[in-house]
Amino acid sequence: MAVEMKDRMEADNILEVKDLTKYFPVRRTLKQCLHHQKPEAVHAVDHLNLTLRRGEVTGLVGESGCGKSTLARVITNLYSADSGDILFDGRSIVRTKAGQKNLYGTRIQMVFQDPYASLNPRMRIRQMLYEIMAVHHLCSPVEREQTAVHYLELVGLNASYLDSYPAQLSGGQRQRISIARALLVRPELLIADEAITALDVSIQAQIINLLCDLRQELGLSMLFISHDLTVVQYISDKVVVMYLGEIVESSPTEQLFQNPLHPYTEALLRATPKIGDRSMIYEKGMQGEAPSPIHMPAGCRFHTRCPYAVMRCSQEEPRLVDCGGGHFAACFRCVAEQNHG
Amino acid sequence: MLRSRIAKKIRGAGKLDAGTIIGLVLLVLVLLAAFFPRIYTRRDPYEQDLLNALLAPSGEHPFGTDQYGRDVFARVVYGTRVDLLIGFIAMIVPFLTGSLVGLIAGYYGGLADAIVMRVQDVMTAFPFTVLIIAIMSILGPNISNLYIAVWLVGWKDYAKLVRSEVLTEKNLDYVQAARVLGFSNFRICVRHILPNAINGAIVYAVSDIMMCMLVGASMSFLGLGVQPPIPEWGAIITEGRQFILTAWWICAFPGLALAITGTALSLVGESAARFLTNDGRG
Amino acid sequence: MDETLLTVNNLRTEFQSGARTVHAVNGVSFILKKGEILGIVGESGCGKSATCRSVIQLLPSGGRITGGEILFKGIDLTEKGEKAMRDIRGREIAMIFQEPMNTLNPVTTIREQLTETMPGKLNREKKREEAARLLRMVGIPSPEERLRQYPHQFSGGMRQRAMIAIALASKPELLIADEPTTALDVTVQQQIIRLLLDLRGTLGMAMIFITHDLGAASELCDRIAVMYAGKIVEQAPADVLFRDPMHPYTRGLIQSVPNLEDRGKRLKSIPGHTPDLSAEIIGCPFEPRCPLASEQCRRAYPEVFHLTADHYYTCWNAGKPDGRDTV
Repeated sequence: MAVEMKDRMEADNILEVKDLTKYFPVRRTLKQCLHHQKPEAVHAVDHLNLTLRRGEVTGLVGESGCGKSTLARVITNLYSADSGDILFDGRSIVRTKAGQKNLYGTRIQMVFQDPYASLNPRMRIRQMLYEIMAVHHLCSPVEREQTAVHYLELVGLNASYLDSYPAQLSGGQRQRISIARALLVRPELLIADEAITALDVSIQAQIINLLCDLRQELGLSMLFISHDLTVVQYISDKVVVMYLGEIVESSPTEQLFQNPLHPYTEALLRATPKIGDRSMIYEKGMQGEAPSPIHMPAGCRFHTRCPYAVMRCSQEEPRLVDCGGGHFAACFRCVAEQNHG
Repeated sequence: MLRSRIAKKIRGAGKLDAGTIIGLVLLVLVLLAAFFPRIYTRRDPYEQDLLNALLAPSGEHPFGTDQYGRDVFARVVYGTRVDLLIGFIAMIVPFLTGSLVGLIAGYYGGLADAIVMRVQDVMTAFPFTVLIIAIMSILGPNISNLYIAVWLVGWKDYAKLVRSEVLTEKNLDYVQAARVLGFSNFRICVRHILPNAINGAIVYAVSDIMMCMLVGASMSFLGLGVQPPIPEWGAIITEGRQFILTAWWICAFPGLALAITGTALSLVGESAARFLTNDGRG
Repeated sequence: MDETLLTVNNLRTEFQSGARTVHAVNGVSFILKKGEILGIVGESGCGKSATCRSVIQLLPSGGRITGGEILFKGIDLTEKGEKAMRDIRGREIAMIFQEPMNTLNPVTTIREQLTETMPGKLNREKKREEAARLLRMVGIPSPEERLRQYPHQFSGGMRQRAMIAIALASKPELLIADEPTTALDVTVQQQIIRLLLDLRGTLGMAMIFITHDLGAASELCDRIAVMYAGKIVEQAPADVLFRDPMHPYTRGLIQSVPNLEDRGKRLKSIPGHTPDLSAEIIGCPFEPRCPLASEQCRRAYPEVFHLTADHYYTCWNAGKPDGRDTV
């Protein structure tokens, strides 16, 4: 019985990231070479575990440099992993041969941050969409126009955009094209890497609504990456908070916003400006900035900025533990509470 | 389709300025001389007439005659084709190979890139002409060896230009998106990166035609390129060199032809550069 | 009666790009009192940056002021020559930008950049002390050490602090901040906003804060002007504006910002996109996107309606039900 349950649980996971690590080596200075020091590395993703469930939207939140984009790029195979494993639909995509990797090109898709850089400036929208259909044999040549128009309409555009160049479109329109392009191959998992950050507020709302609709219509699983908590809460079923290459808290959305367990999540929530509310500005906020991902602090990575830090935090690294109800946090305070309770 | 696109682009680029118009008019005149020399003259550039040798320019012979009585005007006009062809071939072969090498080196990086860049560094250390003369003297003087020499020396500039563009382009999101879409490396290079990375090389190529023509003329002048009696501007100047004090016209007019062609190409090249850099992304 | 520091009257600024003339600022008027923080809020291309760059006359090439007046302490800056403006810039009006790395000089130390604008009569030692004091004031720890460093050795937030310190070196009366927190993480943004508020308290300088982030504006500003298509469409004290927005564009903006309370509901967005400012616009430029649009809006640009002395908006139909607000 228990085994069966476990099997079913695993079958429901569209993506499992297991103990994933990605370092970027930093070039040694002459002095370091002379002193025979080991080359240093940016710890972009550090022994990270993450599970995405089929049909769910997972929000991934963190400040710049926390490794969230690197994670997205490892999952989409733009970077290779240093160690660890990624299971897509139960099968490893890290250990497959290069030739087979392209198979996943149609199953995992990504929408990029900068709408001005993510479309080839020398191609018309028509050429872009037709090329994808031709490469992946998605439909017969006669159906191409019809299919292209269908996907443009899906993202709220129409056939008149087919012969435009990206330079003729606004940021929001380009981002819609990017989404249409990603959906064209009928992916099972869509990764949106800061997909709305570069857009104006009114356009952001349009794109968030669009993604919500698409998710309902197509049953997409989604990894929605953003630095903005308020945006994430609108779209996500589950939120994962990342700090310096590892996950510090992970929880169903409601719970995370009502009862953040990790001090970092708490600080992020508090620092998010709220319209018409000036009280937060006078509260004690988090001091300093995230330390360099080259020289990681020992113990808990957050202890240098944490208002609750004690001796133990600088010596021992807290593990991500279940605090009940699928709410995980990596902080000694939660563990202590759990022990007492 | 293509024509309407080009017309649209030209209209989009704004009104043509005086420099471009002058350049285009000169270039058309030069190209006419290359393709239809008979429009300009009925005379045969090889026909000798020793009785009328070294005549000064007149109505009969607008550019005078040389020591064998050949019409200098006819020789200069027929020389246009030879010189343009030298310029074009000596440009196009390095352009194609250099761009390809730059594309591969820039996209794949690593060892291939390191080797290409070091070879390129070594070649840059020698002066252009000296290197060509050296290669020519090893291979022997004739026109196809001239092409080989210019090719060996010329590819590196294109490789360098394209490589640096590829290095910036390949990290842009549209290339990453193409990779996520499962496109092959070949497709990404040729269809996506190359059209965005080639502009600098094209602009350089237009001005490089002139450089190559000059090299061709210089080599012929030194006796290493085109051999007499083929009418080539550099070769004509060599032949006329000994009469420079008595029959200045033999040397002066081929020189003038070179200057006019150079002006035309550089004017057109300049507006091509402006046109290409304004295109697409603005 | 508070003393007026800056009065902008019917300012117009154009940009020439190729054959097109973009009317970036199209008749903007506002008043800034001493010690006041005015927020200019709007989406990209609404003319908020162009307005402020017109005030200090640092327009990018192709841009020029075509009308209106800018009275700074009673003197019209549009009539000043470039040399006189240079004296005013940096001394009486300072500006900070979104990306400090593009503004700080990468090859000189922070100390040199700080002491550059100080009066020449101070000696070296005095200048160094003053520079250290400025760094301490903007909350940079161990300033003596930091003075010897170069901008690339600073983190993003520290660079922004350093830039503020440089702006403060000449004790300006007006600080123009063009999206100074946009490139920063929220936790650092909060620190910078608090710093700007503290500085206003201690130095009493006035500030114009340009942002597209309504949340940041609401935390920092006393008064907020909302810009759309080169015009101010609504202006009010910050708390009033967010409590009681009148213009449909302001309402749309506020409603399209996700907030923590409305989770699960569909976000309200403004349909369409901003108009092309090189084309001539008859009537209200917001009309094609407006839920309240009527025939009158297509014909004429709305008059200015004053709700109270310091709250005005330009809309014919503001206050009428639009179907969005139905609870």
